[in-house]
Parts: sequence; structure tokens; C-alpha cells
Amino acid sequence: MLTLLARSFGRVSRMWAASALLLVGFQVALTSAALSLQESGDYGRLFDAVPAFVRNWLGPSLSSFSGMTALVFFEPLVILLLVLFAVYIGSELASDVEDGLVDLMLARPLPRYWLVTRSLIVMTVTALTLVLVLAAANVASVALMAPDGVPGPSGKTVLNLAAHLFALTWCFGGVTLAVAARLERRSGVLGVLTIAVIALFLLKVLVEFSKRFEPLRWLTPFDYFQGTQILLDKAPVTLDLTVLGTIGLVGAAIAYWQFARRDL
Amino acid sequence: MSAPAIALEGLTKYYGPVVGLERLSLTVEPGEVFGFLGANGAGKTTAIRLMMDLLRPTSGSAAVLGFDCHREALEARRRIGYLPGETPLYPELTGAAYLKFLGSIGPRPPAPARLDALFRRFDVSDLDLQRRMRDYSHGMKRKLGIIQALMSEPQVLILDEPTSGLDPLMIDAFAEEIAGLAAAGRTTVFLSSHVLSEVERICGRIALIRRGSLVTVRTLDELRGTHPRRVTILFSQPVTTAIPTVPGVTTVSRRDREWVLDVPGPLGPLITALGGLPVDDIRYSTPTLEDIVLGLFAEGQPC
Repeated sequence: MLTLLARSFGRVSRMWAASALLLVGFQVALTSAALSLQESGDYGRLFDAVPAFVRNWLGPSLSSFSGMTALVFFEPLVILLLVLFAVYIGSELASDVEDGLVDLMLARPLPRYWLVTRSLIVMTVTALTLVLVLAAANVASVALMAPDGVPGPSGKTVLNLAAHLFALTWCFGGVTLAVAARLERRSGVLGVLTIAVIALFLLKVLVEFSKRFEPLRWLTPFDYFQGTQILLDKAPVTLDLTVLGTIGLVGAAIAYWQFARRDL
Repeated sequence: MSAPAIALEGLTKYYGPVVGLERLSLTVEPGEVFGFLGANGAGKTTAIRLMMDLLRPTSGSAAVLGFDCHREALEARRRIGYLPGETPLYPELTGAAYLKFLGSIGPRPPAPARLDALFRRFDVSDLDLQRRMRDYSHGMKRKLGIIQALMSEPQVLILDEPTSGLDPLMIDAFAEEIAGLAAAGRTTVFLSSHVLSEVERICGRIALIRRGSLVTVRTLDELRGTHPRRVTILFSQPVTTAIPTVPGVTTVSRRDREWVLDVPGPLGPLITALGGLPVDDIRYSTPTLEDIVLGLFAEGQPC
């Protein structure tokens, strides 16, 4: 198993490193912007300047240094980067089938479920470490750049935001595993999941902006990561993490079941 | 009594309505070099992938050295060296890293002496091994594929079109390697091919498969023996009498001074029956394996 893991980690290491750099860069840019607004005292004007629906959505992250530096955890680009990264990693099973590598590996005395376990571990570890890199960048940039006497986000807030971001990423990674255990082409898995991710994200946006879509709120996993509510300490953290974790677990369970019985 | 190296029993695989393989039953004894012949799409790869538990049978079973290929897949695969029809590779790995990776997930690490012998046999240099696989030629990839199948010294080798893409020198090297394994008697080789000359050279016994169904399983000598020799009888003057009736002999064509007959078995009865006719010359040709196999592929008749 360790050999399989090492091989898979090796294949995604550059992509992981590039993503980590992007996340760190994003955090530094955001902290710089927060610092600039803090020094010019423009938070009030910024809050007033944005449309009401943006205020409702991003709320306290636009009104203080600590809020803005924490925005990185639920900024759409960051969320989509991490989710799509997990989707890519989770699609490894389909890639193994497509490239015939599964023939080589399963010609050895390895149980089929090892390949699912390997992909699950790689997806989990890479997603978790990226979120940890982001959290570390957040803490470090705030510690290094915050003006004297201006607080950054609390440790609890950072931890909650990071946990939600990881759970959301893992949720989509688990669903990807289920799809990848069924399909034979990585491009097919990426196509299906990318469309699904974007559609569910759009649903989340619609839910935020229009009450007509409110009844559909529960359908999108993105709704279980309520960044502004976490900043206000009002989010149902346990419920949200449980829902996201359960979706991911169900996806992983389907992947094990599907991969064990399918033709390769 | 030891279990057969490979035992297929009513092995059947349907892909929806399409027949991949139908009721394939055959046995390969330990130490045999067994050829599995068929045209493209005949079901060779399907049978092999069923043995490797990569496909699940619609019905029937496959066993390797007594271990069911599905229920006891790990035990079966512990004893198998497998070369897929297309050589899968990790393009970012060097040849050496590729073999090291596969060796480390295999049943046992390959012995360095065995690897060296294979590198020498297949003319793989240290420089080749340090190159990334994405830069390999098709033949080089195939050589690495063969080496990974052989390197752990498995009891059963299952090779899908092993020489596809190899140059004649490497085909010779492959044949010598298989001959060496056969001589040692410790390895059973099951190889699929549609290259008749390769099978004729390497295999002791062959199975012919056509549209998913087994046509025949024979030794090469048996296969040749089942097919008639074509005999041409030339006469010194026109002959108008009826062709004598000899059991098994069939007429291909007749002209005044020439009869062409297909004669299974010994020629003696025919020669006796020709007594009294003005025979000037008798010529015959033995069918090549290619003639026989192509005939069987075309007819699809069990023999």
C-alpha cells in the first residue's frame, strides 16, 4: 500500500505544490488588501459601496481586517480551486483503468479495494494539507502584516473555516471516487464532476440572491459551508460538517462497492 | 495429482448482447507452452482478462494452479506473471523506476541476477533504464512489459500478444527465453497470438478460438495430421475412367491427364487404387499451419 501511495503522491506532487503556492499567494494578496483598507480606513466605504446581495453574502468579511483576511476560506475561487483539485485526484481510478495501469497493478496480488483506499487516502491527505497550508498562510500573514492592535481572525474561527473548507472539498472528492469507480475515462469523470460542481455552486449563488430558490438550498453542498455565519459564530457547525462528511463517506462507500464488482 | 496450471470450465462472457466468450473449456498442464490463437476480436484478450480477474465471467470459471481466478484471486495472481496486450506505463517514470515499482508490489522482489539476465537477453542497457518511459519507442515499451512479466519468475506466464511491436531479433530473444523456461519445466506459458509462425515456433499445443468459441485444442502435429494432403496425379495419357473410391479421399478437380485429390491419412490405399492407370507422376503438398489455421478460422468447424 505504501508503494502505491508513494506512486500516486508522486504523480500529483507538482500539482499540489502549484496549488499550495496559489493559495499562499492568494492569502498574502488578500491580507495586503485588508491591510491597505485598514490603513486608509476604508472598510466602512467598502461595505456601503457593494450591492446589498454581496453584503448579505460576504457580510462581516467586508467590514474588518479580521473578516477580510478570513475571506480566503470561502472565496469562490479558492473553494473552486480546492474542490476541483479533489475532483482531479479522486478521478485517479478512472485514469488507471483508461491507461491500463490497473492491469499492471492488479496482475500482482493486490486486492481491488486497495486502489480505492489509495485514491481515498491521497485525495484526503492532499486536500487536508492544502487547507492546512492555507490556514498556516492565514495565521502567518496576519501575524506578520497586521497593524498593531488590530486583531486577525480568532483561532477558533480559522479552525472552523478550515474544517468546513476541508469537509466541502472532501465531500466532492468522495463523490468523485464513486463516479470514477464506475467510468472508464478520466475526462468523463472530470467532465461530469466539473459540470456538477459549477451547477451546484450556481445554485448556491441563486439561493443567496433570490428567495425563489430557497427551497432548493439543501441540495447544494456549498450551502453547508456558511462562511459569514462562521465569522459571526452562528453557523450550525456540527450539522454542516456531518452533512458534508456523510456525503463524502457515502461516495467513498459507493466507490468501494462499484469498483469491487465492475469489469476493468 | 497436481492441479492443472490453467483450467477453464465453461467460461462465458457477454458484453450486453455481444458474445465475448462462450463456454470456453480447456486445460493447460504445468510446464506446457500453450498458444491461444484467434483473429482480432475472437475473444483471446477477454479470456485472458477473465483469468486475471479483471473481467467477471457471465458464467463458468477459471483456475490457475487450482486457485479460482475470482474467489481466490490473490493466490492465483501470486503465481502469475502477466503481460497485457498494450503495455501500460507511467510516462513520467524511468524504466528502472517502473520495474522497481512493479517489483515492489509483486509477490516477491525480483532477483538482481534474474533482472540482469533479462536485460541482457532483451538488450536493455543501463542508459535505456535511465530514460523516461514517455521517450521509449513502442518496441522498447514492449520489452519492458515482457521483462516485468518475467522478472519475478512466476509459475504461470500469461502473455497477450507478447511479440507485437518487437523486431525480429527481439522476437528471437523472446522465443529463446520461452524455450529456456520450457526446458527448465518450472513455468507454464499461456500466450495469445495471431502470428502463426511465432506460435508454431514456441508452442507445443494450441487452442484456436473463433468468435468467442473454441474451435479446437491440438498439438501442432495433431493439427497437421487432421488435415488432408493435396495430391496431384499426372497421367501419361488421357484417363476417362471414374476416380476410384477410397475412404476419406475427396476430389478437388479432374482433367484428362490430371486429378487433384485431398487425401487424409496414409497414401497407401490411394496408390493401390491407382493400379492399372497410366500414372506418370504423383506430387503432394503438406498444408502449412497457416493453411490449416486460416481454414479453421474461415470455416469455424470444430475438428
